[in-house]
Amino acid sequence: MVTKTEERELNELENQVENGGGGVWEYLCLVRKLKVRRSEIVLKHGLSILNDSGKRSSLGPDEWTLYEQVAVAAMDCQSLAVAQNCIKVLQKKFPESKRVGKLEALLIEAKGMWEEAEKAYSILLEDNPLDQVIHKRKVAMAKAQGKPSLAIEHLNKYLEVFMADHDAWRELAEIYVSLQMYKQAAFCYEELILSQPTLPLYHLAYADVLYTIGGLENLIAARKYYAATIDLTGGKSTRALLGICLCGSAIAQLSRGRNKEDKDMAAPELQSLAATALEKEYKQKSPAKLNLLSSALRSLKLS
Amino acid sequence: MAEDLVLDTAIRDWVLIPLSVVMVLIGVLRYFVSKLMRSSPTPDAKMVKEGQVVIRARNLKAGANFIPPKSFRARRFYFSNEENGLLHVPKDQAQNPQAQMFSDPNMAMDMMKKNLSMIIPQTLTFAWVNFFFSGFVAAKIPFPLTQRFRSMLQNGIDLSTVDVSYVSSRSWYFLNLFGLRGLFSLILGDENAIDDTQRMMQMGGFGFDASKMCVKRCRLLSHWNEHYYSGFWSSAIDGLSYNQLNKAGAPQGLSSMLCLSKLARTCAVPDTTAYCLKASRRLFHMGSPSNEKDPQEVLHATDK
Repeated sequence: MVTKTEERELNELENQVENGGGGVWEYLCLVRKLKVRRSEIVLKHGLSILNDSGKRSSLGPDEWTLYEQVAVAAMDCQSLAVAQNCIKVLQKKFPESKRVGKLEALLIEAKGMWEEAEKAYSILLEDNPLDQVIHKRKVAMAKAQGKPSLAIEHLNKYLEVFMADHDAWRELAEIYVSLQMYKQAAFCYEELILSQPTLPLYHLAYADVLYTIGGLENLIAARKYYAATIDLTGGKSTRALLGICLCGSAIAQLSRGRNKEDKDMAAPELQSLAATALEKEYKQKSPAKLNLLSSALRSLKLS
Repeated sequence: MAEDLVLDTAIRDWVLIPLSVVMVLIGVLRYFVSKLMRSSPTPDAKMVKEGQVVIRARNLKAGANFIPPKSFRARRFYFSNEENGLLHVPKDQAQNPQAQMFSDPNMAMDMMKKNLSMIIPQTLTFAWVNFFFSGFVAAKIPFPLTQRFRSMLQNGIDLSTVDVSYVSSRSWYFLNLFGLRGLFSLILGDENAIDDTQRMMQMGGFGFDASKMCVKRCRLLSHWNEHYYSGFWSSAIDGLSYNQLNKAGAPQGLSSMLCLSKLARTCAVPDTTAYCLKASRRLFHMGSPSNEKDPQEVLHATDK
């Protein structure tokens, strides 16, 4: 995850570069370090450096990393001819290189020739069975071909070895949610919460999944996690506030026929607090929709 | 006799500075040689997996309060299960890390290379210093020292009356050895493989042993249950302290003890539950031996 200072620095450099100021090389280095996806800008300015032979030779040995970066950016923007040229240059300089082999396989994948790409990746995996990037490319291919079950299979195998990779857990959770396999998605989100408990995004997503699964216990847990999200974001998460209101009304509905103990779980104060906070926020940010919100909240409280 | 010796400036020109320059150059040479000789280690799948498992188990313990209890228990079982838990390493397999290191030829070769690349230049330079630069006072240390340092710092100087602050060039060599680390990180960038002092410290404890860490994680996780239900319940148990209840007379003590044992059972703290049951039985027999109901039965009845 990119920190706030780094993001600010990135945006500043981007503005500078786009408006014709210098600092292209620093921008490219920062993008490479942070692994951010700004392919159009990278492609445009990277190409301008590479085509100018004076600037290119001033880079020294970093020239080749720039070629690699521009090649990947070109593939992302679907300018495959540019990518092909970059890869050819790299191939001439570094024949028999695994890194260039990865780029070639990536190009085949970008062209959409799935079987050849599959073969190329398997060959690369034979040489180095523990390469994380190649495993992830296979998952991406399966996802792009529209075979989520195959992607899930590959991801599970990957996670059996690299179980501390939280990006992979996140990807798996999103695939499960898209396939409506909510229990498994809940498991993945639990893993994410365990690895990064201070990130409100995961608490929010977990609460959403729990609310979707339904059932009194899950609803109570979902409300806890919405509350945790509000705690972590300092009260700014509109989605979590709405989540609390919805959970509250759903719990009240489910526990209507039960005894007093469960009725205490309804916690009406929490719901009313969340409703007031929501109305305040809507008044600030979009007063036009305030009426809509008030009527929705009223219907929730009544039901 | 603390009189000031006047040291020839030629010593500075021909001893101190050349010695430092030579050490810097040798360091740079070693850096480039190590870069050339370095073989990229092929990561073993098992080692990678074990490392990641340890990270995941550590996250589980750290974030245990953030996930629902059922999921925590399920994961804990997955890790520390007796038969096929990931962290459970059966006793005979937990190898001595030293034996493992020597049996694996690649690792042994790597270690040999690293050690040699450190030992040989050090030995040669030390011998050179001793041969050429011994027998005279090289420098004066600005702070006073005790007599114990005489043998260490004044090897070539055979006069016992000279102040210990006047040292020979051997001490200058050692000073440079430990002090040039900062200079090397400036010239050679952060990745310099000639951090001798760190390497020497590492020689004592042999680095990362995944299986031992797994066993440790397993033990930590299986004991974690007691601490999981922290907060309200444990403070309740602490509040109802045992001594207080024992002194408070039989009937009140009995009901509180029953309450306590019920709490302890809810929190799944078996020792506390057993203790409270025993204590309540004792109080019960003290207070009203004619009463038929056994505290345990009362406990089970109130559970329903």
